[in-house]
Amino acid sequence: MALRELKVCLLGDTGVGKSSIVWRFVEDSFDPNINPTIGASFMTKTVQYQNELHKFLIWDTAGQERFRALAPMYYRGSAAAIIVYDITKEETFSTLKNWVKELRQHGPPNIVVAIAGNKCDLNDVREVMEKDAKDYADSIHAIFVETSAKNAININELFIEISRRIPSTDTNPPSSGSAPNLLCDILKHFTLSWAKFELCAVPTDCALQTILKVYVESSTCFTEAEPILVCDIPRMHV
Amino acid sequence: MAADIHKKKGWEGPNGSLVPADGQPTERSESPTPGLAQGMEPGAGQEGAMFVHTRSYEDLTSPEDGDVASRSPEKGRGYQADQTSMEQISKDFSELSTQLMGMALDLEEEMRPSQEDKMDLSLQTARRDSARSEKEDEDVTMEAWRMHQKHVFVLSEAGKPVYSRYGSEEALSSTMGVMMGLVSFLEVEKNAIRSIHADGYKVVFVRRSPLVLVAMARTRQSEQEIAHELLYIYYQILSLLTWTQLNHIFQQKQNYDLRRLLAGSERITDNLLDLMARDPSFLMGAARCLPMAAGLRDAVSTCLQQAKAKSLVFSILLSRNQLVSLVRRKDQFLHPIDLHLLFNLISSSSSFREGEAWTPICLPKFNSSGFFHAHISYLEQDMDLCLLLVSTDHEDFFTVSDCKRRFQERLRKRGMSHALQEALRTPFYSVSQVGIPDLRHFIYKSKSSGLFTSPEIEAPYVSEEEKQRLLELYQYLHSRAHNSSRPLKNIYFTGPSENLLAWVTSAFELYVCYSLLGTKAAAVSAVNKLMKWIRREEDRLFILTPQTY
Repeated sequence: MALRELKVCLLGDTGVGKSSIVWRFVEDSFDPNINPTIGASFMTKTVQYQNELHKFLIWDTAGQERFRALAPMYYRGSAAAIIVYDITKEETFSTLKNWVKELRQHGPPNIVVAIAGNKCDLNDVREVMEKDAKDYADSIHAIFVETSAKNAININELFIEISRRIPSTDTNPPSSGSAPNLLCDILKHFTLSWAKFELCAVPTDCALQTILKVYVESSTCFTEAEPILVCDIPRMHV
Repeated sequence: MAADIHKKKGWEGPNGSLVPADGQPTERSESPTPGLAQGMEPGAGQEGAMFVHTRSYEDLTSPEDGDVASRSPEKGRGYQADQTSMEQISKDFSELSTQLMGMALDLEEEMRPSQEDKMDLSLQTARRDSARSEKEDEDVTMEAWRMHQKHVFVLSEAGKPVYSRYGSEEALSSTMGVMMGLVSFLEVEKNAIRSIHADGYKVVFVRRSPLVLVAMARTRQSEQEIAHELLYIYYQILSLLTWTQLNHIFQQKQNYDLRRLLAGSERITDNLLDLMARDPSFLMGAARCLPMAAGLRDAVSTCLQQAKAKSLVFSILLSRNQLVSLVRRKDQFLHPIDLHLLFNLISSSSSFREGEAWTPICLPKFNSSGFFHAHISYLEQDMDLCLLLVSTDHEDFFTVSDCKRRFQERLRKRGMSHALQEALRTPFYSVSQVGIPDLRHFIYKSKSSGLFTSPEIEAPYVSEEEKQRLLELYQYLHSRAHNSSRPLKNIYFTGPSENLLAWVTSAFELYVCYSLLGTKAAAVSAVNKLMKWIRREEDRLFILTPQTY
């Protein structure tokens, strides 16, 4: 079974429950007295999705102001970003909108954005209406779920939806049937380029086609000396 | 944000030399004598030290602190520099106790906990357990708030609150305004306020631009010791922000509200204050090692040393604030204060228990202008063994994470996990192992290695209050021994519930607590036996062969 690594980062205000969501997903546990994350915490979990194994490389970032400047380090190169807000705190939803803006401007172009309204078990003290959040998420084509890390509501569903949305490399091959093989060729010859490319973005169908086009058209001049070219294509295309 | 490492060569001062000067004997003496050279005492590393060499209160006597420098200790004045026989020491002791007579009364008074104090302590411990949010809710106008043993406040030079140990900062903004008023009032005349002593309180001020730190204490600590604790708080703040960033912020905007940047770190500062009140490491300015067989420790250190990476500066293995192993880059030394800050960071948060944490951290004594990046993880979930890898490169997470994996693999291959687990099961030794009947407890610090050892605190110091009282006794001895205007080398004191002895030489510091039943002569001769025991056990209690990459 094919194994794919998916880099996912969690963003959002301090205290909204980013770590709790990750703990529930990875360990299926919940600690009501969890301490604030310091810096960022890295965890992995492998789940089966259709005929593939998806290994989630999860970066759980700290929500505190002083770690704000570090966020690009984690969302850069991520296949998906889960932005979390607390349904009982209006201001965490405003912070979320800022994160969306930042990802638009500086994040990888094809990043899958998921919005999680956490603490939905506290419906009595809700401040953010589900409909408002859903409308906003739809307007930016983001995944939207209300979750409860405490009661294990919608946590696994959130990650399954990410698995579903992340374009797969071989289930939907680009029009040219031989493309995966070409891609393999590129990888064999230009591992350095691949490394740089991977840092920049996860290939979508479009990006992949573009690269392949470049590869086919300029196979004579495409050398290891130009990895930047590969790296820049997805952005140029968008 | 890359931290650049300054090749520090600035510590070659008179107190800073890490190797014994040429011509000194290199073999380790069997029975330690008072004339023991630095580097030869029990616990001294055989291949140099791991730490930067420090003096007690060095930061308080540095030129940074202005007029204090002139009051720096004139060591050894009025005392014979080289005491070589035990007779001499006994004689000194008797002289000292007569000298101490004058102060013995107030000493005794200070040592005796009053009824009121006892109440405070239980109140305080109860508070400590409560969560931070409750702390924030504490009403600062209530009597209970006033009753705390030690308040600590941090404010900016504009008088804005930055941190308060108890109660919310907002509620205290006017109090902090008054504090800043006091500081600036005296500064007009080019003076600096150091402390106020009134009504059993000591109010101590430490100014480290752009911050002002104030402690209000009812403990028996000396002014210097309280100031020293405040400096730790200052370094704690630097470790989160760096000195450069802190100064930059306030240059840009004088009335900046620093709490925004420090949000979420109050727990770390709270923990540091609590830790300083019960862990003698801070008082000693040294680290304690987890006792374990030298062979096992060396093997673990070798595994750690082999799991290296280009960007790694320090690899530290620790268990509940006790050092298991430390491997460092060859030309780099860690300062004990920086190590304490790292220990405090790890003990203050349970968030490191899961996954692998990766966080920027400034080690202010090493380089206050840049961040290191620390990889923090526990080796196994149910094992209290934490691995801390300090790297210079923030992009190097996966390389450093791989170092951890390699280290664990080596441990497994050599079958050391089990032995390590055994060692973790007995993190303390009993004082009865020494075989001195009236000996209750002791702290021994080797100055050249920056390490100290101390047995488990046993009966009669069972309750939290009693344990804290014992530490306070040590604090008192320490402050007497290191008093800047009148340092003492030997102290013997018969208190209401124990006999105490302190012995400070250029090579080591020893603080001993005896039961009341023993005599002074017995106590003095027991010191010799104790030193011999430490020498015999030193390879278990200390790290004698520190490794480098």
